[in-house]
Amino acid sequence: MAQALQPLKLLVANRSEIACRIFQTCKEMGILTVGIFTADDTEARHVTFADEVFEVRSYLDIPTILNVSKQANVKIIHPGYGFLSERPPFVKAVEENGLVFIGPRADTMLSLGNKTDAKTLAEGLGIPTLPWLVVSHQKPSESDLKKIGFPILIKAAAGGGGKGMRRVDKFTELGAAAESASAEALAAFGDGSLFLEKLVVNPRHIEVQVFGDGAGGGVHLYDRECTLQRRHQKILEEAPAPNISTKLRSQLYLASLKLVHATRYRNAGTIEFLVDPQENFYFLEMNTRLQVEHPVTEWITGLDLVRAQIQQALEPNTPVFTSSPPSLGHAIEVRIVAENPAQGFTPEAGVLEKIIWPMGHGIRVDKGIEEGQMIHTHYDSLLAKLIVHASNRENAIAKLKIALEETVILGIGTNQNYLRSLIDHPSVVAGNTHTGFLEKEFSMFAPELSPENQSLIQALLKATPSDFQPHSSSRNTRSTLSGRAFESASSNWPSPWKKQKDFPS
Amino acid sequence: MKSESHWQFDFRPGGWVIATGQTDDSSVKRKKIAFIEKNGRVYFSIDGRCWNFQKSQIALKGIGSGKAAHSIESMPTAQFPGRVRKITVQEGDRVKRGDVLILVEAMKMEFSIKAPYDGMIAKIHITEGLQLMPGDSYLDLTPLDKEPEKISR
Repeated sequence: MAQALQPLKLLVANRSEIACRIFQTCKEMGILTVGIFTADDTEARHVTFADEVFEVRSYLDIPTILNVSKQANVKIIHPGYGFLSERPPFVKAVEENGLVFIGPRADTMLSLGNKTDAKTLAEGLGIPTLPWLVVSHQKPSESDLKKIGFPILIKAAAGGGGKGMRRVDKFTELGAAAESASAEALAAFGDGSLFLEKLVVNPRHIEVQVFGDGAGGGVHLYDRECTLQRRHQKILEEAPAPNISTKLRSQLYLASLKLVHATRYRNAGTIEFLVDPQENFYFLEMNTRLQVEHPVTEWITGLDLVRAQIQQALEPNTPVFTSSPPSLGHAIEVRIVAENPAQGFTPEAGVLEKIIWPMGHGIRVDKGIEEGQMIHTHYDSLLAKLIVHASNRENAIAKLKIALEETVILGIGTNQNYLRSLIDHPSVVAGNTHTGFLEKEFSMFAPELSPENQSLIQALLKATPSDFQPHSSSRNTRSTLSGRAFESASSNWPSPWKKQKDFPS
Repeated sequence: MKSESHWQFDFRPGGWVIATGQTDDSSVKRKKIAFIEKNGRVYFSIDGRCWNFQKSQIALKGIGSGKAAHSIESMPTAQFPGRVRKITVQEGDRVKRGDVLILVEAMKMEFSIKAPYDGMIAKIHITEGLQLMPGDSYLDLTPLDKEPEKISR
C-alpha cells in the first residue's frame, strides 16, 4: 500500500541535453527524475537538473544502472539516444528486473538494430534496399565487390552516427578501411562486425518518424530531411523535407508503416531512407530510439514525443496514436558542437566562459551545458541544439539566422560561425543538397574577420574608461570584463576607479 | 588619428557591449559585441558570429583561418586533446604528402593525421594509447623536397 503512494520515478540512462530534455517532460508529468553521471562528467548540466543523481563508472555500466534503479525505487528507464538505447541485452535486463523500458521490445530491437537483419526484413516486405554484402571472417573477393559495384561504403552492422563507416573506391583499399572501421565500431558499439553496401552518389537522407503501439498498430509522424552531414554526423535537420513529390512522400510513409506493422513495433522509431536525384528511395536502417533531431517533428506536429513515449510505456494496451496528427509549418534544427570548423573540425575542450542563448517567438534551445562548465573530449561534441519553427521554410531560415546570431558561446571554439554561413549558401536556401555537400562544396570554410571588426576588437582590448560611454555603469563593465579578462584589462588602465573603495583591483 | 580611437563602448546588462563608431564617411555605426579574454586568447561575438584569436594575432593584419593555413593536414603537433589509436609509420619511412601517419581518437571519432609534405620520418615522439594534449609533437618529418614554398603548403 505504502509503495503505491510513492510518486513514479524515471531514470535516464544518458547524459547532457537529452537527459535534460527527458527530465523536463517527467517534471511536467509529475514523475521524479533520476540521473546518472560519470567521474568525467560531474559538471554536466543534467546532474544539476535531476531530482536524484548517482555516480556510475560508465554510461554503459548496466549492473550499476540496475542497482541504482533498485536502490532509488525507479519504475521506468529512458535510454535517450546512443549509449544503451539500442542494446537488446539492456532491454532484457531492465524488463527482467521488473522495470519499464522506454523503447521497443528486445527482440524487435535485435532484428531491426542489426542493419543487415533489418535489410533482409525490409527486402521481404518489398521495400527497396541497396546491393549489399556481409563481411564475414573471410575477406570478400574482388568479384564480390564488383557485383555490388564501386564506390562501396563499409558500414558497422550495429552502427549509427556514422561511426565505423568508410568509403572504398577500389579493392586494394578494402583491408585498411575495414580494419579501421571495425575498430571504431567496436569502440563505439561493442560490436565490430561490418557490411558492405553500394554507395549512392549525391543522395539525400530522408527519414520518417514512426510511433507503434506494440500490437501491430502505429502511425507515421511525418518526415525529416537530414541530408547535411559531416563525417556522417547530421548537422542540420528539418521537417518536412523540402522539394519532394507527394508521391515519394506517400511511398516513404507506406514503406515505413509496413515495417512498423510487420514488427509490431513498440514506441518511437525512425526509418531512414536514401533518396537519389531521380527520387528512387532505398531503406537504410531503422533507429529504434528517440532521435537527436526529434524536436523538429515535435514542432510541426505540436507533440511532446517524450510524453508520448512514457505514456505508451506505462499503458502498453492503449495506443497513444490512432491517426497521424496534422502538421503545421516548417522546423529546422542545427547542432552546435564543440568543434573548430576552421581547423578541420578538431574537437575543442575548455571552460565555457560566457554563454548567451537566443529566445523569442519560434525559438527552442535544447542544451546540455551551462556557463562556467568544463568541456572535455571524453564524450560527444554536441553542446546544444537550436531549433526554430515558422509558418514556412523561408521564414524558418530567416528565424534561424537571427537565432544563431544571438547565440554566443565563448571560451571554446564552436561551429556557430560555420552554421551561420551554411544557411546563407544558395543550395541550402534552395533545399537542394546531398549528403556529400558539406565535405565537397562547403569544405573551404575559412572565415575572415573584416578589417573594421578587427580594429574594433583591438580598440576594445585597449579601451580605457575614457572610451566608455558615460552611462556605461561600472557594474556592467565589471560583469562583462569579468575574471582574468577584467584583471588584465584593469591593470593596464591608469584608472581613477581603482582609487575608489568599492572597486576591486 | 587611428581608426580604433573612434569607437566608444557601452557596457550593457546581459554581457553585451555596444560599440558606437564614426566611420570615415562620418556615418555612425553601432555594433553589438560579446567578448571575453582567456589565457592570451580573445573570444568574441560580432555581427552575429563567434570568433577566437590569439591576442597577439589580433594585432596582425588579415587574420582569419584562410591565411593561417591551420588545416589538420599541415599540423605537426596535436591541435586537440585525444588518444593515439594507431601509428601507421615507422622511423625511417618515406611518406608522401597526404599519407596517413597517425590515427587519433577524440570525442568517439577517429581523426587521421596526414603528412603535410613529402618527407622522411626522422623521429616519432608518441606511442599508441598515449593521451595527447594540444601542442604535443607527433613526430619529426624531414622534408624530402627542400623548397620552402612546398614545405609551408
